[in-house]
Amino acid sequence: MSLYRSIPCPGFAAAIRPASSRLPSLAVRGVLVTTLLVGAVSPSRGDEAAKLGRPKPPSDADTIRFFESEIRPLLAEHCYSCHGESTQEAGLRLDRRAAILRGTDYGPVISTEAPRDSLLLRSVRHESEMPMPEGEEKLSGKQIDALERWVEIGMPWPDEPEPDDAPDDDPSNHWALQKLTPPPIPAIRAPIDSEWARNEIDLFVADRLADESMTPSPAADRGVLIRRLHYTLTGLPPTYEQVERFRQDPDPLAYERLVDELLGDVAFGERWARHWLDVARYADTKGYLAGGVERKYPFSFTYRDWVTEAFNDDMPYDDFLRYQIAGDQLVESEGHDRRHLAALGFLTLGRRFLNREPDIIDDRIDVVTRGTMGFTVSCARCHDHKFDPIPTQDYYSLYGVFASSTEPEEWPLIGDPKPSPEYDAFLKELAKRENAVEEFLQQRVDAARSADGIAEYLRAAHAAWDGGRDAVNAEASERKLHDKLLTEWIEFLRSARSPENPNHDLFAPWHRLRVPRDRDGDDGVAEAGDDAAAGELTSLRQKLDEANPDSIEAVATLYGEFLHESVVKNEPNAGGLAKRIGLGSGSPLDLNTERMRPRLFRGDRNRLRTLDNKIIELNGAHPGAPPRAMALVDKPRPIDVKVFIRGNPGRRGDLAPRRFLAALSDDPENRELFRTGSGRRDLVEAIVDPDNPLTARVIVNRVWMHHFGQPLVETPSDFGVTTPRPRHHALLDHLASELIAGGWSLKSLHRKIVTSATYRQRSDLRPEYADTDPENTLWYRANRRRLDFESLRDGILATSGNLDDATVGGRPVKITEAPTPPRRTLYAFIDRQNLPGVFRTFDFANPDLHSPRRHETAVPQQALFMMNSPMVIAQARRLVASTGFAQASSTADKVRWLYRQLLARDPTSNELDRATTFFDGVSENVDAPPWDQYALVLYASNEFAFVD
Amino acid sequence: MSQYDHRTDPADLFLTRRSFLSRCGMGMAGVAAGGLLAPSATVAGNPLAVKSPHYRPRAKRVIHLFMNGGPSHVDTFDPKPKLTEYHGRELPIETLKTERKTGAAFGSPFQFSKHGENGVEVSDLFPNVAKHIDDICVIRSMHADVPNHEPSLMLMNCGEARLPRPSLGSWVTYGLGSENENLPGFVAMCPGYPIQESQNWQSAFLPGAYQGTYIDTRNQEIEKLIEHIKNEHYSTDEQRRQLDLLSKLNEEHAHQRQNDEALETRIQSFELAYRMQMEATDAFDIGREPEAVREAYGDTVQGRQMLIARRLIERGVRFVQLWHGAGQPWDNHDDIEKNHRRLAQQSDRGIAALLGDLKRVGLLEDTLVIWGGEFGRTPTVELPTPGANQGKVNGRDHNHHGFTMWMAGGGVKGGYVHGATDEFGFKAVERPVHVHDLHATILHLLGFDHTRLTYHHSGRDFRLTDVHGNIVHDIVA
Repeated sequence: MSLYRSIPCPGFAAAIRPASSRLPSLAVRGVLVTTLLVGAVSPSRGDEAAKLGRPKPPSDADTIRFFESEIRPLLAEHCYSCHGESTQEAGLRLDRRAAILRGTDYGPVISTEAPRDSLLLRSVRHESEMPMPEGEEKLSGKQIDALERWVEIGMPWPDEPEPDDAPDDDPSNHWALQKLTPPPIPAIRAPIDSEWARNEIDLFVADRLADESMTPSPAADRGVLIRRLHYTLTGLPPTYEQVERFRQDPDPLAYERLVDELLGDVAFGERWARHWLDVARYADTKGYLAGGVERKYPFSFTYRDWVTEAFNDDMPYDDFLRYQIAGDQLVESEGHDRRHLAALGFLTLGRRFLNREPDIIDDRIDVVTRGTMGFTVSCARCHDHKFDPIPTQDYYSLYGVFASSTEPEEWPLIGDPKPSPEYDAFLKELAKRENAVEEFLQQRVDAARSADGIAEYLRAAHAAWDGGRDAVNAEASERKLHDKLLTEWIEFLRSARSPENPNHDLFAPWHRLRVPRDRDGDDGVAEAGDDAAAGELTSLRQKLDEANPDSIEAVATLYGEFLHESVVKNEPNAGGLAKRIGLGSGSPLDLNTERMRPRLFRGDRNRLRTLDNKIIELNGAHPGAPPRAMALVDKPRPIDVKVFIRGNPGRRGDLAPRRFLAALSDDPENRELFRTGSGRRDLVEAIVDPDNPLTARVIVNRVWMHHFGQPLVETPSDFGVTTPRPRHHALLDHLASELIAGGWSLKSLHRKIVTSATYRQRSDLRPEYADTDPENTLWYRANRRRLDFESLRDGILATSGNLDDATVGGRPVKITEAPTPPRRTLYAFIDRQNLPGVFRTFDFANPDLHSPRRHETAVPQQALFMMNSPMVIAQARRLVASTGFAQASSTADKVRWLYRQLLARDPTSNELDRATTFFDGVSENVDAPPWDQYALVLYASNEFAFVD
Repeated sequence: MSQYDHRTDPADLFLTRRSFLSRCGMGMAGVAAGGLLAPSATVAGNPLAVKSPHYRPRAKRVIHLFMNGGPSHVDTFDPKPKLTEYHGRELPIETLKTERKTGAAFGSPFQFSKHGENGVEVSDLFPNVAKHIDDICVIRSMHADVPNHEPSLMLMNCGEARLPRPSLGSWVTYGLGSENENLPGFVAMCPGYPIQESQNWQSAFLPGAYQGTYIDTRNQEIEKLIEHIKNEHYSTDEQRRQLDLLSKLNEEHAHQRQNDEALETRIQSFELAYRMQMEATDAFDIGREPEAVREAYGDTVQGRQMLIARRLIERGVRFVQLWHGAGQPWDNHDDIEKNHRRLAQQSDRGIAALLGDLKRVGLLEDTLVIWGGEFGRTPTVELPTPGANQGKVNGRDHNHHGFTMWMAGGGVKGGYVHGATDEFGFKAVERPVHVHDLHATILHLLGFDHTRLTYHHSGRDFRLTDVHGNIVHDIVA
């Protein structure tokens, strides 16, 4: 075994390892090996490492002893604190041979051509720019000699296992990177009942169970199944009547009919939209922004509603992704319906990081790569991926794609606004608010062009004439002028001192009077013969002569009046001076509302922002505001970026042309460049390419997770090389292949899953398997599940009869307000900056980051919500105030009514007794039995909160 | 098994062991081999169950007094006679770049004097805190990365200036759990919001239970402090009766379901919640303190917050962060003398009373008290910028090159000064301590190897100090 063998970074291992016959798939192997070669070709690191794969140097007991006694202690003592396991300054670590060969982020530290000239040795000899060890004394001559010798003999290092970050296997062997091929469908065998299986899912499940001599659980009864189906497919509970009808339905296909019915319900799209919104890190706000700036996204809801609709329409999953990543191109170039522009919210609705582009782009790369492919590309932002074959260059290839995309200046309308009273009201209000902005600006324009205003600018210009930026700021602040405009005045006046300047004559008197002996000025008097404004200048001179001002204040006043009269007031005629320095001239007097806006001083800018925000708010919040898409478009000139070394935009490395990830390309060395605009269209086509080994597997796993409470692959957004092959790999591949073959229909996948015998099992624990498979990874039973936040709240509203399930979509509502809006929780306003506590308490997906799966905690604050929140109490009270409840006469009837309403079943006699006992304990001075308190207990019960 | 995961019992976090496993990035095989986990019915699902750190801790809980806006070190804990000497003149050293333009040397308008056994110098802004200087370790060589509030707040709280990452308090609560299950493990108090708002105590990818529970101390009524803590409609007796019925119904329900662990966990959570109502009410009700104690803390928002902090810490809350005020009160670009005096007066008594109380009851020994802002201020005077300051030329700009923080209790050396800025106070020059180093040291005091307190997310293990952080061993007693 070669001493130069062990290179921990999977990439370089592949780069230098001869193609091995144990690699299974030629195509995939080619991908990976060459990918990593691409990395290796870059001058930064790999080629040195590659060269080092030369014939093996002597590696005997002596050289190893030499290393252990002389070299390792030296490295440990002097180097590891900065270049060891926990810290890697400049990306260099010296505690592994392969890492030393890899070098720093900037290049190799070992030269095989000239070992003694290796940077490592030059540094310890203090011959390089970075003498090492830093902050310590220079190594002794003996130590340096030892290091030199060690490098010269090929850096012998004992054969030791590479810790943690070097998976043994070549990444091209990784199961998730293998091309998808439909696995053979196993036959049913003992001990599984040959009648048990209902579809292929069951055959795969039975096969693995049979391996372990385990058996599946019997089917749950219909009462359990209908509740399970309702919650997983629609997120809402069935009513008592629905349960009873289903239980008594004689049709042997009643179950299948129910599935179809629920898949056709709009509530299905609402439920599954929320699952996707977790992936899409959906929120209705931009996150933190400095004071006063509007944080709400006005049209985030159009994205949310688009997702709902797509799921309800069973839009093929490949199209679903196409629209979300490149919808603008499909609409603009291929004539698809404009409503699909809303899909781009997938990219645009992330946190805005105070508008820092690299972070916004990072967020977009992350949501796309982890969200659609379970590939953690954003790990490669600062350095090559630690585990997966993703070089930094690939990250910046995608970076270029998003850097070549931009948000349009105005969010595009989705379809035409429909005439309605609300729309008219909106237009009226919009005009009002736009006028307010216009008026505000006009006032500033008028003030700056009034006689007094002009005079004040002249006085300030005089005072700040030689003082530079600080003086301008001080004068502007003192006199409440716009500092940018004052600067322009000074520049304007300064340039007028030149005799060639057309305004020389106009301001010559000012300059002369301003500085009694202005050296640069002459005594130019305003009487140049052929000047178009000669008459006006003459009148100025006369005025100056008459007034004979003795102070600059007075001169300024005179000029103010004169300029206002002859320029501002004359503008409609636009001759003479008005033409030369009035509107359209570019002078400080050339001011209209549009030009005023960027010149406002800070206080006015803030005031204007408040007015602007009112328009944004109206566009976003007014019920009549026409919906728009938070779209993305391509920049006119797409760009490729260079790698940011260690993620630092100030340090650029190699160019990263826009193209797809090497690890997922057939011919990584000759990857095609993205050609269509920014490349988003090419990107999504590569993602949904049937040959992409990840996309179908990832979505199948997500869907499975939401149906069963556990995914097949434990890390739904990380299918990288550290993710072990799932126990049900064949089942995953079967479903993924079928998804593609079936035209990416998600509803077919849902149908297949929920009609399987596997899904229909009972959820009872199986003590006999408690040791062998306590976590039910082989699916020998169904998982009992607790309702998530949305289902819990929706369930409470639905059973109190208060849920508005007829309205679909629309602007978000604040569900923490009292009374709570009766909309489904999907429609809750999500403020990612200050998310109300109740969301957090109930393990809502963090809206800042793509969320692979939710945490499941049981903190007491959840119980406090059930016990004390005005929302739950209001629903309990609503129930017992309803006519249904009033019509039930006896206590037993009332209890029965509540059980049917909340739990969709009849109470047992035992439960009836408990109710009676409950009311017996009520003190006698209470007028009526506290039925609301009783109803609240049923809401709080485990039966309400869990699905068997 | 992976050497990166935090080895306390993180299984406690999740309802099921399996969902936990996926987080720790360990395969089933890894766990079986390590024999690490013994899922316990009593703690499953409770993310705040007490956990042990990597090694024996010096501190068990933390109070972070956040002087947001950036207090001036040369006016508080870092005396610079040379600066006074140059007052009004240009500094003989380079005027480093900060957020805005600054001009001449600006000697401190405050008087410094020596305190405690070691004669540590403190300005007259903090006469009461100075009395405790023998318990305080002053770090005069702090430095951060940039002179702007937002990234510096994020760096100080979350170890990362820009991207969503868990805060220090979240990491600590994740690592240690909380000793009182009837109270939140991590509490952040502020009258209103500081800049960056709740991002300062975010849990990011850690479970929501580790996020700081925000208490708006503009309110004084308990039910406004903690959400849903009080039932507006039912008496305690009525509620007890509800819970008794609930527990009977749940028992029967569970009985038919082999007493599934997840069901049991939720049953427990109601009893916890019931007790939390009393306990939290009690903890936040400073009216239960004797008059003399309230007097000692001062009847100000600061005083009230400090007193609540003490009551929370006494009850086993793991991490309390206390902000001086909404926005950025210590950000005195103008009138620094007047404003710093006012701000110090608001907090000096409360801090001193807090330290005194903790010491008296023996809690200071293993409670780490941290004082500081997100950065310090320039030794030079800030020049006028319209709209940005009032142009009074009597304030200081932000300074991340060098500033002071102090810590007390929790295993730090008292009466000790660590590191130094240059002779004018611009830049940390002796034994500089970066914010990452401070974090590594705080975690060290709490018993953690900061490189091993990790969480698997998005394909890799994350930690508070990312790839940085060196423990400052010199300040550990």
